[in-house]
Amino acid sequence: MTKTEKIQPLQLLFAIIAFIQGASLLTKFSLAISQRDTWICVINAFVLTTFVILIYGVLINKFPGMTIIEINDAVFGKIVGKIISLLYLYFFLSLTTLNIRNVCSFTLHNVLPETPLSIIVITFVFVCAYIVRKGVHAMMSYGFLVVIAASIVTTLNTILLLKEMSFDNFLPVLSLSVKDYIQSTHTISAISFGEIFIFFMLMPNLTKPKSAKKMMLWGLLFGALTLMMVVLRDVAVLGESVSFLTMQTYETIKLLKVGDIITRSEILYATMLITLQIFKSSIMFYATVKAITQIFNLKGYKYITYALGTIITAYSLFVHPTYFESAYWGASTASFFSSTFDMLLPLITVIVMLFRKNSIDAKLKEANAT
Amino acid sequence: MKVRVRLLLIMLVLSSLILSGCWDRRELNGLALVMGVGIDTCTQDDDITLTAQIIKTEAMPTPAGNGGAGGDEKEFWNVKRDGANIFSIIRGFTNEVSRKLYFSHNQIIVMGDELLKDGGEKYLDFFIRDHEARLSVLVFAAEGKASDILDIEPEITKIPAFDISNLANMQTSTSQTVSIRLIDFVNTMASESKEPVLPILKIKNSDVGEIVEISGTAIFKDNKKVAELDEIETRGFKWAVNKIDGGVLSVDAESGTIIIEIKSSKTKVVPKIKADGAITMEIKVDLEGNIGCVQDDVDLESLEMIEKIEKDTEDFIKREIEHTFDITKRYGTDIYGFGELVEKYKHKQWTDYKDDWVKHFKEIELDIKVEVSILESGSLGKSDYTK
Amino acid sequence: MIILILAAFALILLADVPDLIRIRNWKDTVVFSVILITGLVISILLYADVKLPSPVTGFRILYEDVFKLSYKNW
Repeated sequence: MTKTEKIQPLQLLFAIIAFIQGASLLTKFSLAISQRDTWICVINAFVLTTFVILIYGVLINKFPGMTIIEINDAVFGKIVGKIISLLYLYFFLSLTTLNIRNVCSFTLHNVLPETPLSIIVITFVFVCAYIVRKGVHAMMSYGFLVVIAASIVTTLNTILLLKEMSFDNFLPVLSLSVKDYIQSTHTISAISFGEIFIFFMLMPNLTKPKSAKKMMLWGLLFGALTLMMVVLRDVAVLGESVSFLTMQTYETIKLLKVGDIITRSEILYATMLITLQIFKSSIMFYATVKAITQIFNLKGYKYITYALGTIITAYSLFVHPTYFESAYWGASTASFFSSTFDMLLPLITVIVMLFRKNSIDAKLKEANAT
Repeated sequence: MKVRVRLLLIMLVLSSLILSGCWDRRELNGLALVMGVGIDTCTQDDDITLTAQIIKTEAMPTPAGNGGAGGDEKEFWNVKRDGANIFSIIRGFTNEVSRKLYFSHNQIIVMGDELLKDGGEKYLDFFIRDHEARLSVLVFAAEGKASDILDIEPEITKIPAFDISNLANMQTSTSQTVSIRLIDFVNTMASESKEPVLPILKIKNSDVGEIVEISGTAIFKDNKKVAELDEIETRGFKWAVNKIDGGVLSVDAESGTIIIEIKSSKTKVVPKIKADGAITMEIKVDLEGNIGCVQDDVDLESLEMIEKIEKDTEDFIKREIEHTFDITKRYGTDIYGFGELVEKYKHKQWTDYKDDWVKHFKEIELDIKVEVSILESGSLGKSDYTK
Repeated sequence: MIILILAAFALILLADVPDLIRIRNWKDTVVFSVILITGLVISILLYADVKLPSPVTGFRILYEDVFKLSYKNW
């Protein structure tokens, strides 16, 4: 790997934090279900995802520096491995497209209402594709700045909104049905936190592959803290209406008013969110491109970047024809779809790996010897 | 290197073309900035009349000198239109207004009296749903028609909507009116037990013509307006919801009338449920005040006198709270949010009460404890200095 | 409008294919062409306002009805 392709562990950490901070766009799915008690679900999801990362850790330790595609080949054998890798490829493609669709819808409704969606999507995808072409190092190096900016903006907004908060908006606690808590925990864990599964495609680029698990855990912690702050702030400020508004954080920031000076700062929030999402989408884009490269044993990934960009642009325009489909998907099936790929399949991989331990060890020794 | 710099410059120029937006370009002189909105019932059928107060930017005085020329001209324009629902009326405004209406700077929403009596708050749906409108907009009830209120030219500022929103922000010095933002109104409507309140705008005849004043509060039941509270009764309401920021109390002590200025006040309300299911609300008010003004002969240097004044003030506040509570009991509207307090702090028992909360509300007893501390008396030590 | 779409695709083609042919990497070229042509076909279909079924809808039906795994069924 050339220098442009190597990532330091600390860069990985910031990338993961940025990933989860970008999930604050998706809080509406969980806030609509668990309302005031969403903070409980965030804590539960954090615990659940920690266990999931421990499962990832088993795979990372056994196969350091290998992407999930290569791990599949090693564990399941060539043919079944390739089939499962194709499923993963579809998952990565869907993730990228759904993410891009979400951020472009947000931009469409709040910033540029009259512009056709296709123009917004084309611009966004072009930027992501360009970043991916420039190399992994380019992608990761600005993660640090993005995380710092996003954390400062979120903290500042929370502090400035303290006088609008009323803490008895959190009462009564634990008054909803169990189904709501399970659904909300599952949604946060599979969608907001679980997307860090995509970092499995970046394993070969790490300078210290075994540090990935530690970085994931720390990244999850800081990302979850930011998400917790966002959720607490939104519920404290908005009260009852948090369950029926569609863009809770946006509405909260619209209420921000310090004297007559600091008002109308929601455009700052929108800018920060779009920057975070560009970062997130370019990493997902890279993962998809890398997956295609590895499944079909191509020589390099740069060439298919723009071509894949066209498919993603076109796909994101018809993946959810209307907002209602997207909301229904998010509320009902999205968490099952995501958790199949980022929780269930890795677990199955680990179990199969444990069964086939001996033959896998032999194969690895062989591969290392050649 | 030179090629790179040129490429960068080209990209910067191109992006400045794109960043200003193509389909979304909004030239400042193509926008009609709406400052205030009024909603009334209309004479025909179920239609409503929407009044939008638009700033006339050309009529505003410019520093370049020809400001005096437009001295008599109004700087705003109230466009009125009838229609069945808000969104079609707003689109219909383009038949009369040559620019697109822009609601982001909207300061106030005024709702007419007739509209509120029929439960007109469903018309606020547009202002919650629209992406440009803010939830921090102030909402008012008008005595009469909202369009009349918006027509009155104020004396100090040029735009009525600014004047009214400044008026609302000044109310902390008397604490005799409420200030309701759209988010507060929406949260109250979404609540199962709490009923909304709105401040009332009235037109007053003064010697310079007609001016707008805020006076009194409209209270609602089942989201329809049922009654009005006057200023003193509004204060009685605000004591119980911890919204007192300042004000003047005119207390009748036995030696004379003492005016107390409120410096700070804090109220805590705790719901208590007795064994037989009766609800008691413990209201504890902590007040710190100063002697503002005394117009009779009172010896302010004796501690017993101060204690007596404090006791009289405590009784005074207690009577105000109870008086307002009796009014709300009569109409059966829980504007205080007592139901929400029971739901929050005594959640297990709330299920017994929530189905016919109105009945239980009427049976609530108040247990009011007031603690007044008078801190200072200003620059005068005693007021019986006249001989 | 369709000229713009074709022009964009031609640009992408021009940006990458000469390099690939020069290196004589046939496998990459094939995969690249497949992806590009898929993108082109979908773009033209979208431009012609053909209602394409979304694969995500397919997954939703799969999960809801076949696996019965969806929160709407609780």
